[in-house]
Amino acid sequence: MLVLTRRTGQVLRIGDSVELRVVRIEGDRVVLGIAAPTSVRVVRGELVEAVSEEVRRAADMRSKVRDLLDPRADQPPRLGLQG
Amino acid sequence: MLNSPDMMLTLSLGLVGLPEATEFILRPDADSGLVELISTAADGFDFIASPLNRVRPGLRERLVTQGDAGPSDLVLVLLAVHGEPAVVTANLAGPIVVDPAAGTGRQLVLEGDDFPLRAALSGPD
Repeated sequence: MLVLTRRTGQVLRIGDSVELRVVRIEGDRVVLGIAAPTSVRVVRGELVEAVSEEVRRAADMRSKVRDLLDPRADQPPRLGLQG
Repeated sequence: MLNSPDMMLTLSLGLVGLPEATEFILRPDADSGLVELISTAADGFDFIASPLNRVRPGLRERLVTQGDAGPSDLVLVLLAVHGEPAVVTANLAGPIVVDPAAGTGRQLVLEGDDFPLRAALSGPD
């Protein structure tokens, strides 16, 4: 892994089209500005991990989902949105 | 689409965290309006999914506008169960965009409050 030190306002360029700027530093938080083409998706690493965990949970819970939503089950389905 | 017969679906990059999960049978259920994703691998992963617009009307069109989905693409969200009492949730942060004509798709990871990881769908009162 490449490790670089940057100061507030300084920039990193990744390839020809991505620019990463250190906007400010607040305690242990770094605020970054990212300029990239719309074709380059930028997401937080922890979100990718969370989606991955949710994918596995969806596989594990398939039968339970079916039980809760099956219109042919004894309990009528409740598909009204809550959130 | 939801009244269509089974179709083969290839996710060339797999699912997020499951890169090996690439080949599925997509089986619409006209009664429930939901879709089953059945892995063709012997030890594969199977899912129940919902069309995104069924969970959040209009959000699919937004993905089309953003260029994340094509006008004729189907956008599915995986369903899971959370909480006690159990509530069915939809993973809007990781929708699967399917090109029905090509039989291909990909899973996105979307940032933002409009794309929660666990959007409540239904559950006990």
